[in-house]
Amino acid sequence: MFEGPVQDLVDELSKLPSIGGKTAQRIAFHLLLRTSRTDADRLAAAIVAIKEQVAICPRCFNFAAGDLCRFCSDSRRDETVVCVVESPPDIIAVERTGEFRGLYHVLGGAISPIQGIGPDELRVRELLDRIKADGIVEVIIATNPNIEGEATAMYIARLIEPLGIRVTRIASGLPVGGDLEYADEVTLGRALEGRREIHG
Amino acid sequence: MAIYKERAIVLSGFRLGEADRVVVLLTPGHGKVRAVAKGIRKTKSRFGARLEPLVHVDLLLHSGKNLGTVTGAEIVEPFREVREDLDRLTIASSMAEAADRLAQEHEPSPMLYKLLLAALRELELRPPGRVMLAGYLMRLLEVAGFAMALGPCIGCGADGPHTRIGIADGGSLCRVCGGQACLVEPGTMALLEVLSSAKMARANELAVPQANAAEATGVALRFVEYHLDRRLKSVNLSSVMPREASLVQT
Ligand SMILES: [Zn+2]
Ligand SMILES: [Zn+2]
Repeated sequence: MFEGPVQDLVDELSKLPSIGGKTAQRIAFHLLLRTSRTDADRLAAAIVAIKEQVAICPRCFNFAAGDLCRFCSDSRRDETVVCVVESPPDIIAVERTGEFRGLYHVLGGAISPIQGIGPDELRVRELLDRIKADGIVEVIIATNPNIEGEATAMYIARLIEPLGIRVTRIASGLPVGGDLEYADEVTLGRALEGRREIHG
Repeated sequence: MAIYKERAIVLSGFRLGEADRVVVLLTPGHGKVRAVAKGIRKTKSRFGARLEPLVHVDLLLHSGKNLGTVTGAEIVEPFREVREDLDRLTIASSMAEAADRLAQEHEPSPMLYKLLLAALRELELRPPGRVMLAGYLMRLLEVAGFAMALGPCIGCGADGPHTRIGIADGGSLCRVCGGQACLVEPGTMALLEVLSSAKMARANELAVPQANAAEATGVALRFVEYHLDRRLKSVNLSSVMPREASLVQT
């Protein structure tokens, strides 16, 4: 145990995800001994700012600095196509590709039959309401390519297909730069299913 | 630290730190094993999909003080149909969760392993029948030493058939002994008896009325949950599974 402010900081840091007591101490010491006053102020200000200025977009549940997030408030985006993701960082990953011009929908996690996380704990109902109200014609499901992501994709597809909406799933398969001989049969099987024509 | 080879069914997994995952495994020789798969969440991980839940794998494990480490994995059976069909996945998830709760760490459990494997193989071949889950749970109870006594009344020995089941008592009860026990239809009682010794393939092909299937599944689930002293978490995402079967309490 340390004296007042140092211990306070260690206590606060240990509340964060994947930071244990030892790591919290290391970060606290780093901030105390090796971080300049300016950097420390900036960190403190950034933490205060996200709590004061960042909200959740009421339409897609992405982070938003204004009323709507920057995608929902951008009139150049295609409002008829929605890409469904598990969490806001996934939006950043999709945006980096520069291939998608539609809007997003953040589920807030994935269905996990094994862990007991069902659709009621995600924003699935909100997605259905949006589809019915907003004139959406295509839903692209970009959940993670693991068992939870697949279960989520299958569940959403089952709900949406009867509405006459086109539902697609992002292809998953081999990582670019990987070696074929190290691929497992599930990954390779998916890659074969998602194959596309090439023209030489 | 010892290195050993084991065949395992991956039951579940959870995130650890930035890129690792702890996988929960059911093995014949070491019972339930928890092991870390380092770097598995990175896109280029050499583990790929080999340690996804419900995959049957050959593993190379490093035993550790608390958690072991997976150092190698090869797929024996990927069970893709099971994992990529919502109905099969829903039932398989409940099966895996029940096995997870009943298995003990470091306690050999070849029967538990064989049973789950047989159930997954059946689900890989055919979609789940109405009493597939009930059949698995009845066999699971037997393998775990909690078999339901479905013959004569367990209170007084009176010959059946009876229509009451005492969950805490462990079996069927006559009208006199089982005043507070749950009431089931005669057909459900007979079905439970068949299921308690039926192989998975047989359980999956049984054609029974939906009402009996739901009732049998409800009884089997309550029995398992009574012995686990907890509710199973796995959720019903599918229309084929009579998960919320209500039982008449008299
Ligand atoms: Zn938005
Ligand atoms: Zn009796």
